[in-house]
Amino acid sequence: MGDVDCRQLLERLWAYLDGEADEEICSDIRTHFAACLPCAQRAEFERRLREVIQMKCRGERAPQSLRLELVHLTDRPS
Amino acid sequence: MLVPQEDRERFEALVNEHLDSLYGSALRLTRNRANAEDLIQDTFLKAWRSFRTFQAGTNARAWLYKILMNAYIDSYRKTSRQPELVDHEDVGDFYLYAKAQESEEYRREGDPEEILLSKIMDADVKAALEQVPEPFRAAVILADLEEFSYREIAEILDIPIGTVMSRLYRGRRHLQRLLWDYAKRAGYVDGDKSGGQAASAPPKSA
Repeated sequence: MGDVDCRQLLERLWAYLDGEADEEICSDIRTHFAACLPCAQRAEFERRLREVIQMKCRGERAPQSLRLELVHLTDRPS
Repeated sequence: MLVPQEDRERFEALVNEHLDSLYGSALRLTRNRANAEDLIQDTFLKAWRSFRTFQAGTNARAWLYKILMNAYIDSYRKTSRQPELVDHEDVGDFYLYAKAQESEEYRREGDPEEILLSKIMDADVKAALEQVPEPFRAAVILADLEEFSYREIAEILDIPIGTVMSRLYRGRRHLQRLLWDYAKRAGYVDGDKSGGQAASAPPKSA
């Protein structure tokens, strides 16, 4: 692919951040970041935003009553 | 018919390992505790019924999520018949970052991205996520909270990878717009506490 401009980078940024871009694209993107501070900052912002979303939305605990009911499902034939 | 003790133990181990994360996803999908519990019961009942066909060593988490999503889609299709929402914006749309950069007020206070992230940290992110319309919300939950790969999500939802990507990107776009509104509200509360010199304050005339 070679040099990427900002527009091409944005099209691929989610795939890159999701760990879904192939090695060649990753390397082009990192080269672009080294030369383009705004794009590098944008990517860093998205990464941190996802961490905040995870921190705020994870960690639910199922009620104990539900857990017990589920374990008793095995009293039925499978 | 007698259930082998070994099957019971393996199933109970599965429940214990995956219940909390499935329950968390069920809450964000159904948006209330009673429905989430129903969905989880339905999921594990189906999982138990097909447990014998489940091969040990295959991806148990993805298998359980597939059952969960099928049960969820069945039930929400019955209750809501909304057509898929269509929007026509670009995929490369990073709304919150742009908003932080544009904000005069955040610039005045220092590092705009840092300020926005801390406001989101104070905001009700769960409520914002729950406002993201389906089918985009499910894609965001599976990718951003549960960290399944595009391929796994394609299998879980039984859709092509291209559809996974478009739902996910659109879901994120919805979420970023919602988070902006929620973050502004969180900022408003902060502003009140610090004496009104804040997000809601009118611009000073020159």
